[in-house]
Amino acid sequence: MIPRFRLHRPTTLEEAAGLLDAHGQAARAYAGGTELLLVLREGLLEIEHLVDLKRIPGLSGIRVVEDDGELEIGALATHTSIAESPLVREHCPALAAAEGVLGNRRVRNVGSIGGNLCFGEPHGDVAPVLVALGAALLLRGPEGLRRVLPEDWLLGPFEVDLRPAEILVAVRVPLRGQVLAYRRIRTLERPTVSVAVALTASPGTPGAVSARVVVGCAGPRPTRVRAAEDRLSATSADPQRVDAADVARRCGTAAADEVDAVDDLYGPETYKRRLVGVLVRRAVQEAWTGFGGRTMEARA
Amino acid sequence: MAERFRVIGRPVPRIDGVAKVTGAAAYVGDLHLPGLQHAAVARSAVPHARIVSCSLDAARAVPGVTVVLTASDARRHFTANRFGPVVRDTPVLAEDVVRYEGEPVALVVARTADAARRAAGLVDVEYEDLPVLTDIEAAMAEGAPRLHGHAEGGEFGGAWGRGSDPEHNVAGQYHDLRGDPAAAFARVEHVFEHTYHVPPIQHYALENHVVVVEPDGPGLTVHAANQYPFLMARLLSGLLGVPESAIRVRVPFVGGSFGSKEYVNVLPLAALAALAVRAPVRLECSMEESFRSSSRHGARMTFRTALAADGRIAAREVRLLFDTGAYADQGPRVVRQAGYRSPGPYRIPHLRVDAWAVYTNRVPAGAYRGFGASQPIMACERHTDEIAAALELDPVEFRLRNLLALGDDFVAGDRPLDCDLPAGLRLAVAEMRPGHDRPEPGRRLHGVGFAVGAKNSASGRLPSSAIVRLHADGSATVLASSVEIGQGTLTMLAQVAAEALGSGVDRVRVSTPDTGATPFDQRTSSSRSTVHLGLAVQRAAEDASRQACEAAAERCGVPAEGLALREGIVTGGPRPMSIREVIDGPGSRFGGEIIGVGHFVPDEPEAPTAFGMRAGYWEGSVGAAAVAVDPETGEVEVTKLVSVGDAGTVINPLTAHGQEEGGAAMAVGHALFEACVYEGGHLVNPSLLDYRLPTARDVPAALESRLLERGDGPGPYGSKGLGESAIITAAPAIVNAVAAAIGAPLRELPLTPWRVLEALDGREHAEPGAGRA
Ligand SMILES: Cc1cc2nc3c(=O)[nH]c(=O)nc-3n(C[C@H](O)[C@H](O)[C@H](O)COP(=O)(O)OP(=O)(O)OC[C@H]3O[C@@H](n4cnc5c(N)ncnc54)[C@H](O)[C@@H]3O)c2cc1C
Repeated sequence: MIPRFRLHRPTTLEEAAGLLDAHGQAARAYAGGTELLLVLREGLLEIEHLVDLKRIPGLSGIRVVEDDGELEIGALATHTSIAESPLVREHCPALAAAEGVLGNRRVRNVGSIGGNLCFGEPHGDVAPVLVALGAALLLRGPEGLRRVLPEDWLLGPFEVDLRPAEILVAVRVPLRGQVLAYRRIRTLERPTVSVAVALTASPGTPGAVSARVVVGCAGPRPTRVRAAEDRLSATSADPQRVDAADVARRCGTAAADEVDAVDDLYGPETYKRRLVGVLVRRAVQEAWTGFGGRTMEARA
Repeated sequence: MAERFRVIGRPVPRIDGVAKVTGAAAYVGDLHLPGLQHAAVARSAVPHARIVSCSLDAARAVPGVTVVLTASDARRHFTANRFGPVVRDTPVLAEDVVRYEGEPVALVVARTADAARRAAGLVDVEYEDLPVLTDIEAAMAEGAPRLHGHAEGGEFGGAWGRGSDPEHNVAGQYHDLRGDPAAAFARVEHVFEHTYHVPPIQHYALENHVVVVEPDGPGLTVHAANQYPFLMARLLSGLLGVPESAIRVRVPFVGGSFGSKEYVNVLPLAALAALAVRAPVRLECSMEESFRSSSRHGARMTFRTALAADGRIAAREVRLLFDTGAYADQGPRVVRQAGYRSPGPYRIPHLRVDAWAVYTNRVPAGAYRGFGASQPIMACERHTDEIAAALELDPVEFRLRNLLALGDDFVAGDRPLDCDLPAGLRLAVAEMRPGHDRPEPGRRLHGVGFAVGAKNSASGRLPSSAIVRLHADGSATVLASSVEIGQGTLTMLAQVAAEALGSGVDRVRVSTPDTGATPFDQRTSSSRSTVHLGLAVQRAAEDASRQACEAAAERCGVPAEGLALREGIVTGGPRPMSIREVIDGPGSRFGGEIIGVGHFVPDEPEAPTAFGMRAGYWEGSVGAAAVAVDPETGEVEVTKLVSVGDAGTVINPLTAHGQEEGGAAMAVGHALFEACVYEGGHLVNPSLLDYRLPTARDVPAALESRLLERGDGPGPYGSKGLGESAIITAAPAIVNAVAAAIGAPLRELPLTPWRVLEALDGREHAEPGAGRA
């Protein structure tokens, strides 16, 4: 049973921020409510004021900001709307795919990308993908707009760098022709381990790759696996000269060694470490194949 | 088979179906009574402790709270603050000690549910921790702290209660010795011994425990989601010290149970609340509280088998340790049944079984669909595959060599097996022929597994009565007390009554239980309603029909023999006669309707076996599964699942296959996901976010149910029950399939991906050839 609360329905960001500011700890932003209502029902949070963000226009749009070379996804955009967005599918198909299989259909239809990020659940699909893509979060607070990187955003389990009366307004994804591979294993409700690998042609250095290899869910927050990234960046982007399976295997081994994993209901630490190795290998292989295909296309 | 009948065997849609899918069906939680108050339970936060003090002031101060009750109030309102089905070891509210996390300590009643819950959270208890028993062997060891003293027998007392040994934390036990197993073991060359573990699991009925109690004269009217209405009436009449007639238990629709809603503490708790405030009270639990109310036994099971040179079983020893949690609940009954069934439906000349239900500081374990059959069948069928693998025998061949046939004795003196397991196994094998499951190239490993089981269902003295009121227009009302927990019992009884009355199902209405109005039925359990209550309804309908025919015959001055009731008309006489004419005609002895009465009483409830009760029938079951395993991640996908049941006569193919498919789907969870995880006596996953149930995406598209029909069941029209058949073999079939796929033994459930990987790792270190399956 959910304890009584007061529901506010502001129609501007200023009004919403004012309400959050006025009620402080007793208030919370409310988007889809898929996490918030559970937490209230379990009695884990005592909240008297819910500030519904859904009536504020412009918070759920998805658009390309040409000047910045970025794709902007409104914080209130639902997982389903992102998965089905032609823009996301065009510019970031792997993000669309990850959003399309997250949780279950009810959660995807109601839950927002902003709610997912602000809740800070360590077993999440979205944050690792955003870290790999080099995305940023746009926050609007009493001091104005702020840009935060997703790797700095998550401080620990259920703990994010959200300041008082701040509202997450959008996520920005750079459009630089990245190839992304996303792999995850899910046996419980949420992923046990997830891996996102993004490869980009290094600007200026023909034939070189810039790589991000991110492991999510295994530990308290998504982490980049530098050893794997370095190995990939040191590898020539010419598919003819590289044994992709071998590179992938080495990256997997490096990741399994480097990453932090914890014991929890999703499985013992040793199991997660092992999964990291397998998933990094599979994701690198997939990304490399995609990337190689693209460089070959460019040459032809 | 169906052609002999008018409505038996027809796919009649559930008569409660439309109401349920449109939301019109009323459950206990939908009941609104004027002046209703709400109860909430303050529960122990620790698994084992002495209560040093309990402060109720803060809870009492919450606006809207009418009363806060503790053990002393229970003692004042009840004849005793104790209940329990087999032994009365359970306080309604904890006295000075709590024995599991979640045990009711105090009860708050308030004008709103919100206030009650908030106040329950403010009950302030100071505990002094006591040693926590979490391991069954440790709990049985000499010198272990004792959780209970001696307790009196409960409703089930008698044979069920024998074996209570609180000195050793034993709630109940079962032993059997046939022949001379020790000598047989000494004679043979091949001896196999394996130990298996299954964890405690939760029923997870969609509807939580909910009950509304109204004070009613000297007694109570109770609206309960419960499978045992008459036993609950008896329990409450004892606790209140009032006649059974003063307690009226009504059960509307129930939103699933699977055994969780049998002997539950919410009834005495809500009764106490209603007595204290002299007003109607509702007690509705949360899902987390349901997790802390009952569970299925976790178990450690050792099977030892001596095999003769010809591949036949020479002797078997079984040792079962069941974790029954903090209170006996139905554990002693479960473990007796488990012990009795444990050797499996095989020819075993020499046998020894020792089984114990052991107290620990965990949530009490009791009834769960399968009632003590699932755990030993899991162990037995894995053991069977492991033996076959070690001897490089085909596991199906090995089973066929040892299986009991139709008509064989399971144990001399019990009802001979009335299910054809070899035929079922052959049918399952045919369903699994290569080509039926999709072979997939790639890195996944594929395997097929089988399991066979037989459950002595509806055992012992379980009487049922029914009344059929044949109305003047030829329609009928059936008064019967079977609880509709989703299994389709109302539709089944309507079909049985319609068949016997020669009418359509739409002319028959079936009551839900109301102990103040509908006749006695022992309980809705053990897949017995079709057989026992079905017979009572059939007899009641035939009684009404016979009375109508006799009266019509008398009226026309002809013998009754050739007359029959069809669509509300007595035919076969000089002229057709309507029921209205029969009832209203001159000299009628009917008071406006014809009342037929039917009883079922088992002829031989007892049996000269260690178990002591004779089966109503045997619920035979064969499961088959195909799986694909990712050897790198340990993920298992069930690609095909087949269950073969033995139905006698299928009364309704829709509900029969529904039961089989539902049972098999539920078992996917038992095999792959489900476990109540404890850390030092604390249950850490009491919610769906952390307790993994099978969902639509885990159930294979190829989910098939096959039913054998020989028309030889003891129920109406040759039927048998089948509410528990698929569930008892689907899980071991899946586990056997995974073991076959990875070529390594699996002895602990659930098959989490890391256990599958560990088993695979073990294989790499093992001798070549070992563990082939
Ligand atoms: C059953 C289930 C399964 C799930 N499975 C997965 C999964 O597999 N993978 C995965 O990644 N996630 C999963 N999730 C999480 C899901 O993605 C989130 O529940 C959802 O996206 C949260 O969005 P919401 O709009 O409902 O947030 P809400 O519940 O409304 O809010 C969540 C939190 O964020 C705050 N908040 C919300 N929006 C803002 C904002 N714009 N600015 C500031 N604060 C804000 C709220 O105050 C609250 O604290 C699952 C959730 C459930 C319930």
